[in-house]
Amino acid sequence: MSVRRRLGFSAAFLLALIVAALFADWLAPYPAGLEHRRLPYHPPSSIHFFDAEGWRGPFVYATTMHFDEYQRRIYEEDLSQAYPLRFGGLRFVSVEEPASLFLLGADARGRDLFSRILYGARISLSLGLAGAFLAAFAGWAVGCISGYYGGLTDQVLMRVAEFFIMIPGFYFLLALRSALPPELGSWQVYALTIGVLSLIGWGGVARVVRGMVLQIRQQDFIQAGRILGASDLRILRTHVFPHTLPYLAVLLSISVPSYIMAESALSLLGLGIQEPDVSWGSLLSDALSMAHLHLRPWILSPGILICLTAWCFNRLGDRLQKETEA
Amino acid sequence: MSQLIVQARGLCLGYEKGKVAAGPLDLEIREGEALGILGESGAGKSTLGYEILGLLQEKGGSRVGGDLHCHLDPLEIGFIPQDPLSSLDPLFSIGSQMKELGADASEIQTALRRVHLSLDNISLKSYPHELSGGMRQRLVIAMALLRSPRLVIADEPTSSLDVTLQAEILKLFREIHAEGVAFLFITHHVLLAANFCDRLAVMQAGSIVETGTPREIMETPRHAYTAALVAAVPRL
Amino acid sequence: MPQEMFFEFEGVSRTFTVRGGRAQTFHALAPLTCGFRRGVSCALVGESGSGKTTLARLLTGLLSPSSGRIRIEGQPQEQALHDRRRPYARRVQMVFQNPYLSLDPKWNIRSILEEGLFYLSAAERHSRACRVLEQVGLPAHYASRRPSALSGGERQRVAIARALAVEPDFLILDEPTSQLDVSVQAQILTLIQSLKPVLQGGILWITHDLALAARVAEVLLVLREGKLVEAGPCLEVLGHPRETYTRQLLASIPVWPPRGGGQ
Repeated sequence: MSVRRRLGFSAAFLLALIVAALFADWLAPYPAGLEHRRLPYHPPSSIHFFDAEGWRGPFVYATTMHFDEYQRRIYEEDLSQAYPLRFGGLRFVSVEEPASLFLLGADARGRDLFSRILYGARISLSLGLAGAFLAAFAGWAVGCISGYYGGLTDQVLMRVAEFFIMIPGFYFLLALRSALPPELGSWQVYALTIGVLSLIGWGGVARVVRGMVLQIRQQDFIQAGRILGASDLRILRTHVFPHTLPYLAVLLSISVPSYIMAESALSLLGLGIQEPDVSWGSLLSDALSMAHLHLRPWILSPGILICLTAWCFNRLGDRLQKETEA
Repeated sequence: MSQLIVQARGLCLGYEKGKVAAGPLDLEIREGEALGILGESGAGKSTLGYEILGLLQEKGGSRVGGDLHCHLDPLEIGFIPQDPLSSLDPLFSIGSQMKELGADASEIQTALRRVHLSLDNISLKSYPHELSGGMRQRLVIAMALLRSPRLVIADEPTSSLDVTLQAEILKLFREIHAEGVAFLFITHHVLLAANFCDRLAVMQAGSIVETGTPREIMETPRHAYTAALVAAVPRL
Repeated sequence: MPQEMFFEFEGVSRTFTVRGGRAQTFHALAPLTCGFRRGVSCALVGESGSGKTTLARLLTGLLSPSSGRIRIEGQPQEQALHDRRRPYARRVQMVFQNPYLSLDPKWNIRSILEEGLFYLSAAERHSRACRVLEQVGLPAHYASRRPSALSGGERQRVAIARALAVEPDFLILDEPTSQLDVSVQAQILTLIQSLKPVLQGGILWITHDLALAARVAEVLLVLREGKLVEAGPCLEVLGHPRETYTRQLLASIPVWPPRGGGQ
C-alpha cells in the first residue's frame, strides 16, 4: 500500500519536503547566499507562456527597478527580450542573466527566497527531527528504567525529570544560549540547539512512558517472560518497547513541529542559526516589520511553510494513532 | 399451577443487524418459581436476562422477533448484576445509592436486615470500594430486594466470590425464595443451579436445548450437549 | 542422585507493606515448613487472600521470602536462581490463570513459544516450538497467528506449551481453568494429566475448587489467611477432614445429589 494511501497527504507532503531539502543543491534555482544587489525586494517573478506570437514555453523578462513618487520600489519588465527557463543542467531550473527567477520573491539583498527556503529546510527539518528524536529516546529510556525498576531509581529519575518539566522551556533556551559566547561555529550552534531543545522535552516523555511501563510491568505476560528466564533488557526490548511504540510514534509526530518552531524562534531572535547558514527562523527575522505585510508579503512565506509543516506533522500523528491502535 | 409472570414465545434477540444472538426462545416463569438458565459463555443467557429487564437496548441489542409477555410491573423485578464493583457507582455513598432507588430509611433497614447486613458493621455513608467483596454482593442483593420484588433476576451472582461466601449467598437466596419470590438464576455453574433452582433450562449457542427439573437434567439428560456439560463438571 | 524432596520450605514467610495513610504490614504467608515430594502432583487449595498466589510466586523465584529458606533439590533457591549451569527457568515453570492476559497480544504464537529458548539455535527453537504445539494438540499453522485469533482454551494450551518448551522439571498451574468454560476445562485437565510423566519434579495446582483438586492431585494442602491448615493425601483429607475450616470448605461446595435430599 502506498505511503499516501496509508498515511495520507500529510506524509506525502513531508516526504516531498525532506527530499526537496536533500536535493536543494539541484532543485533550488540559486545558491542560498547569492545576492542580486540590483534587485532588492523583488516580487515573485511572473512566468509567461504566451507572447504576441503564441506559445513559447515558460519564460521570463528581465526587470529594472525604479522608485515611484512615494519612494516605493517598482519593478518593470523589459519586454524586448524573453529569457526561456532552462531545465536540467547544474540546477533543475534556471534562467540566463540578466533575467532572474524569483519564485517566491527576493529579500533585502536580492537573495532568492525560494532557494533559501529550500536550503533552510535542511536545517529546520533536521534540527526539529533530531531534537524530537533525541528527547523521545532519552525520555523513553529514562521512563522505562524508572517504571520497570521502581524504588529509589524511580524516585530520583522522576524528580530530575520534573525539574526539567518545571523550567519554562523557552526562557531556559534563551538563558542558556545567552550564557554562551555569541560567536560560535555553525556546527556548534546546530548541535547546541539540538541539545538544548531535547533537554526541555525529555522530561514530559519520561513521565508518560514511566506511567505506561508501570502498567505494562504488571501484566502476566511480563511475569511469564521473567519466569522463562528473559533478562530485563530483553523484556524491555521485546515486550515493553512495542507496547510503548504507539505512544512514541504519535508523540514524535506531534512534537517535531514544536522543535521546528522553537528553533525558528531562536533563530528569529538571532540566537540560533546565524549567517551565512539559513533556517526558516532566520529567514523570518527579515520579516519583522509591518511594512512587509503591505509591501512585500512574500517575505512571510517561510512562516507559511512552518505552519504547513507543523500541520502536516500533526495530521501524521493523528493517522499514526489510528493505525497503531489496531 | 401458579400464575405465569413471564412468558416468551419464539423470542429472538440480536446485537448486530441480521445476526440472532439468542433465539427462537420459548420460556415460562411462574410465580414463586426459581428457574435456572444454564449455559457457557456466549450462549446468550445474559442477553435473555437483559431483555426481560427491558435493558437490552441499552446494551446495544434489540428484539428481532417473537414476543415476550411480562405480567409484572418493572418495579416488581429486582436485578442482581454480575460484578457488584462495576455496578455500583464509586462516587456515591451506598446510602445515597439506595435512596436513589426510591426507598425510605425503614425500607433500607429492612432490606439490609434481610441480607444479614446490620448498620452496626456498615455505615450508609461508606463507599462501595470500602466494603469487602462479600458485603458488596450482599448490598447489591439488598438493593434488588428494596421494593419487595416478585421476581429477582440474578446474573452470575457468585462468580467472583469464594466458595464459603457463595454458600452463604445461596442460603440467602433460599430464604428469599422461601418467601415466595420467583428467581431467574443465570449461571454457568451447573451444580449451583442444580442445588438451588426448581427448574433448569440449558442454553447452547443461543437456543434452549433442554428444560427439566434438576434431577432430570443431572441424572437423565436427553440432549447430547446437556449430557456433555453435566459429565464435564468436576465433582467430589 | 535425585533428591526425594523437590522443594523444601523452612520457616518461609512473606509479608508486604501496604503504603498509603498508615503503613501496614500484610502477612501474606505465615512461616511455613513443608516439603514437596519429587514427582507428586499437589493441589494448593484456598480462598482469596489465603496466600496461595504468594506461595506460587515464591516457588518461581519472582518473590523472595521475607524469612526462612527455600531449597530446590537440596540447593538454596538464591543460589539456584543465579546458577548459570542450570538456569532456574529450565527447572520451574508456571501457567497463569488468565489466558487472555498471559500472552503478549503483539506477538505471534511462534514467538511466544520460543520466548524461553534464546539459548538454542534458530533451527532448534523452531523444531521445539513445533513439537510442543503438537504436544498440546494445536495445529501447526497456529504458529503464525496472534493470540487474539485463538479461543480461551486454545490460548491456555499455548501458555502450557510455552512452559513445556523449556522442558521444566516442575510445573505450577495457577487456576488454569477458572477463566474457561466447563467443557473446555475437562480437555485442559486431561492434557495436563497426560504430561505428568514429562514433569519429573512434580506439578503444583493452585485452585479454589476442591472438586478439581480431587480430580487431579495426589496431595492436598489447605491454606487459610496465609497459614497451612491441613495437608495430606487428597482423598484422605477430603474424605476425613480433620480441621473445621476444611470441613467448612467441603460443606460449601454444591454437590449432586444435594445434601439433605434432592428435588
